[in-house]
Amino acid sequence: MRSPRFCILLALLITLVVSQRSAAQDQTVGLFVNDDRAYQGYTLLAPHQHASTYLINMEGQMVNKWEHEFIVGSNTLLLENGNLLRASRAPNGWSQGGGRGGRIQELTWDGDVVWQFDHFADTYTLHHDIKKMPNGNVLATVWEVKTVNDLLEVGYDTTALVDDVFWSEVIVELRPILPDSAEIVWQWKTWDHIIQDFDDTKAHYGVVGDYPERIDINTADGESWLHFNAIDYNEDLNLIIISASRFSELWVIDHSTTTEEARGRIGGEMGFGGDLLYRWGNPEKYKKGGPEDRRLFFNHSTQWIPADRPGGGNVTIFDNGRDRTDQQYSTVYELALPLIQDYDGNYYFSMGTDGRYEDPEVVWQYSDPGVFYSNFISGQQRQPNGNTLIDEGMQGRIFEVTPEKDIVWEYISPVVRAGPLAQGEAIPPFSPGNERQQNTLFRAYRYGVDYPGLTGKDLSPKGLIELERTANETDADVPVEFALGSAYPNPFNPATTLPFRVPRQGHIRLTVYNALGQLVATPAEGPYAPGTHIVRFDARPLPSGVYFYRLEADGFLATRKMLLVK
Amino acid sequence: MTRRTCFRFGISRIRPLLSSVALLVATQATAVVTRRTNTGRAAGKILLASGFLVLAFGCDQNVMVEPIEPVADIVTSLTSRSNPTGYAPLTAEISLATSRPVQVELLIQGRENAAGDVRHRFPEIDTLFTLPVLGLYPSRTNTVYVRFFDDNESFLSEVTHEIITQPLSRDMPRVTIDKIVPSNMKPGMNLVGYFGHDSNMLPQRPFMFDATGAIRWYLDFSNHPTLSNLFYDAGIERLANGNLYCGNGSTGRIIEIDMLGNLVNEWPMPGYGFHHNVLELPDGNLLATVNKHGLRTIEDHIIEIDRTSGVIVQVWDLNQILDNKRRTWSGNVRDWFHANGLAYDASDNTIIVSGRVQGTVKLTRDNELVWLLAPHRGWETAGNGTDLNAFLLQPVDASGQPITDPAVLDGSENHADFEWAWYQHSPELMPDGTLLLFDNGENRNFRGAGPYSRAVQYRIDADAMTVQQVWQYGKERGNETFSSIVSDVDYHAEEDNVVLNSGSSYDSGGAYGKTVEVDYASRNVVFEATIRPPESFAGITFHRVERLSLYP
Repeated sequence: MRSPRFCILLALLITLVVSQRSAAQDQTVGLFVNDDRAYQGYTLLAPHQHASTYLINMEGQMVNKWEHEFIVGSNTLLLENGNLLRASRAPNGWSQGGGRGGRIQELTWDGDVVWQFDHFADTYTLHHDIKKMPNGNVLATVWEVKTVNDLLEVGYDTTALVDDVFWSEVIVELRPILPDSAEIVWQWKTWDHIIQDFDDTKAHYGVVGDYPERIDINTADGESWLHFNAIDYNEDLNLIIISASRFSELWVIDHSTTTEEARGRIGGEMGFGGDLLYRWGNPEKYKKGGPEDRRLFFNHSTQWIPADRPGGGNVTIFDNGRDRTDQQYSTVYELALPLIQDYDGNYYFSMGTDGRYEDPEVVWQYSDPGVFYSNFISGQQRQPNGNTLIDEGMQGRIFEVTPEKDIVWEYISPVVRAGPLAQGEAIPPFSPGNERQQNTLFRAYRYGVDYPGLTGKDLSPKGLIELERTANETDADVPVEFALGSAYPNPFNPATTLPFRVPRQGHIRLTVYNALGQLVATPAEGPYAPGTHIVRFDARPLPSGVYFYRLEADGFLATRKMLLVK
Repeated sequence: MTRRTCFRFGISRIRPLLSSVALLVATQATAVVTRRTNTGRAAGKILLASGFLVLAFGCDQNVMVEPIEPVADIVTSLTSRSNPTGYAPLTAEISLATSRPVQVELLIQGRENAAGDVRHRFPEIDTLFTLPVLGLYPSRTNTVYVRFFDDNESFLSEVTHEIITQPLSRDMPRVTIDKIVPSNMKPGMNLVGYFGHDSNMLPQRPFMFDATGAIRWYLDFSNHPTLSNLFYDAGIERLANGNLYCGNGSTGRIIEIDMLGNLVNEWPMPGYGFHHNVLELPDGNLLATVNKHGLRTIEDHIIEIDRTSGVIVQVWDLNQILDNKRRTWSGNVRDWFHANGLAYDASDNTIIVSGRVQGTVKLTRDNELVWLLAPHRGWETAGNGTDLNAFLLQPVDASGQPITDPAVLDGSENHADFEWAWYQHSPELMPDGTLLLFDNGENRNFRGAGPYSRAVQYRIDADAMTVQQVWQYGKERGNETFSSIVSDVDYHAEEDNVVLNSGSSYDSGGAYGKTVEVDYASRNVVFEATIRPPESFAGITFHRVERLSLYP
């Protein structure tokens, strides 16, 4: 059942949202480029804000669609058996945390749930990534809650304490037990690999720079201080690669360990137990460098390139680039990690004379400053023909580039929070004033025409995802009159969004009053350009109750009601 | 498979000897002995051979000797089994009974010439014998001459016995003799710590080849209950008792085996695991490079095992003695030292350890560092707090004057009289106390200068803490003998020859290893062979090569 809020939003979109970027006659979503140099296959879209999954062909036609009860949480994969494996939000799951999930489900091609495993409680939850392993198990990322007391026990400096709970990271290997259970057959916890140089009376005390294989607990700067948003498994090496996004680092750990070994510093084929085998991107995190040594600036998807694809054995990573201090732009890297095999067959990650892990070789990279930028989510996937499929997640844009960086396929997801847009319809922002759009995509994957999971499936085109252009759509670039839209969500706690449209450049004032008629906030005031605007209203200091928001502009006055429920 | 023994009345040809032999055996069927009587003289040849004559004069022409005693009156039984253990395909075992006490000699004539002869006189005088036959050729009917001597070492008579062998394993290499000066080289077989293979890399298969390049002995433990994954790394050598010994990285033990492939002894090392090298000390104890279990680092401990009791009597921990965070030569955090070779200095009861990615160090019995032979870059504080810079050897030039050029000390440049050894292997003390090393030359001068590898001799003055380069060979061979990993040097004191054994070289034909024996004074090559495996083991053809006799 779709939430009434979605209906409200849809109504808002239909009545208010007008493109700020192009005329409605222009194409806004769907397929833009389809060059025959593209790797032929089917692309999996799992909209980030809408509970559906689509598989489309090279022409942007749906060949299958799955509808879900809850939105992603966050990765979705098409398995070799043709089933869908998706991380999902869960009923009564965590209410906070970008990328939160709590549930993993496997669905048939027709959408029947064959396995559904909920793994959350107040103190832990599944989040972000899942990975199907060759043995049939599933690797997944889990947050576990640590309190300030937990941190104090391992030498945390509370001087600049900003949160009272911290989410430490766990990677679990799940053996699915149909239909609704799983056994954790292996796990690894960040918490077992701490170092700290603050309190010599507490555990794990040492010189941080002497222990690059450990995680400095005093880098914990907030709730989701590590924020694993991607993992991948390399069967050949029995290694797991991790995107530790808030560290702006790529990590590698050993999966050949037992769980007991994974808790310690010894064991596994690489010999170091569960300590990090390698890290790269931001050596300042282990006090072996400064800002000038930083190479990643908030990162997401990281993947081993399969051995049978160009660059096999190398690693790709999506560097969002949002923490760059100069121009913000994203980069997709292909990296050859400094993983060396001794003649006796042992592998090791090389460390430099300065006590820093050696940099990988950048084998290939793609960036286009000023054009290509996604400040969160996003991903990439090397194709068998050497092309790279890139998910510019913030824009819901998927494009495929050749090694020479020619764009040979490009598609913009039409699926927003309320569902598919109509062609030509503007893509609303993620939240008012946010450069993220509502058609965001956590990842996108291409499955070749010979992918085993597609064998015997009905791959006939079933129409475009985006809706047909309607006669009711306005052709105008700008609104014809002022308007004040419905707050979304409403009721709300603690924040909501207030939409309004401006037909011409002018001064506006958006104010909020309580039930006594007292002015309690002015969310927007000043000159505004023509177009639709959405501003965020945070009501955390205010008590529950009815509030009124009012737009004043060039003789226009409108007031609407909203309800704060705490 | 059949074997035939023919009694003869003498030796038709007697050739100069090589004192070592390689052998191969194929089946274990009992030989059929065919006797001839003295009427065999009717063949018109009564050849009287004297072992004494052969040993003393070694001649190429036929020697007519009168048999002292008819062979039929000596041999009462003679049977054989080829490859009696199943692990040494070019061996056999002869069971012999004689009517009177005799001394027995076995001879297998060289296939091409006398350089391939294998001759061995067993010292026992007896009437019942079980004799190992070593040095058979593969894939042929081998004629083994069984010769009898009395207790005065006077030749009595001989019998020939035929032993059929199987083809050589496809894992074995092709050996080419590039140069040979028989009179100047050290006689013997070449025992190769072989890494090559055709199918399975393990077990490793040590082999011996003769001066003609023929493989005359090898071991294949593929079907052995405990040695089927034999990995001996630095190779296999001979104990003072004549048996062979090596460590087995797959089981973590040191093993002793005889020439037939019998497992004679094993030394486990609880808490440790073998890697790389084991060295028999003068008192018989065993010094070994080992991993200590339960550590994050590997290949950084040395232990001494009491040969008799098996007890570990001493441990050297390089983590304490050196700085395990020094990454100057390698970024390998775990295998930060990589002990690959051992030597023992009897003059002061110290040990010398080569660490491939740190340098060569001399250690006392008390775990103290004596000196450190390595470029001076990057040395800081040892695990035990010692300032390692105080133990660095100061290079001196040919006249003994200190070399002060910082770039030379650092290692980034060479001096006309001096070069550091890079990623060295195989330390060996020469009779005068100088140190011989295989300087691999990996990452030479921190920039991959060369490439070339060297046999290099250093004179080290531990009192003055100086090191002087006194001899080298190999630089002039360039890439031909360049081997960035493994490899070996040996000194043959009697001949005053040095052998450069490059175990991991490449050319357009693929991976190969080379053993090059040169005269110390002239550096002229007196023997050189190239070994090309079907497949190398990560580019390695062999780790070490030893010149020794086939029979202990």
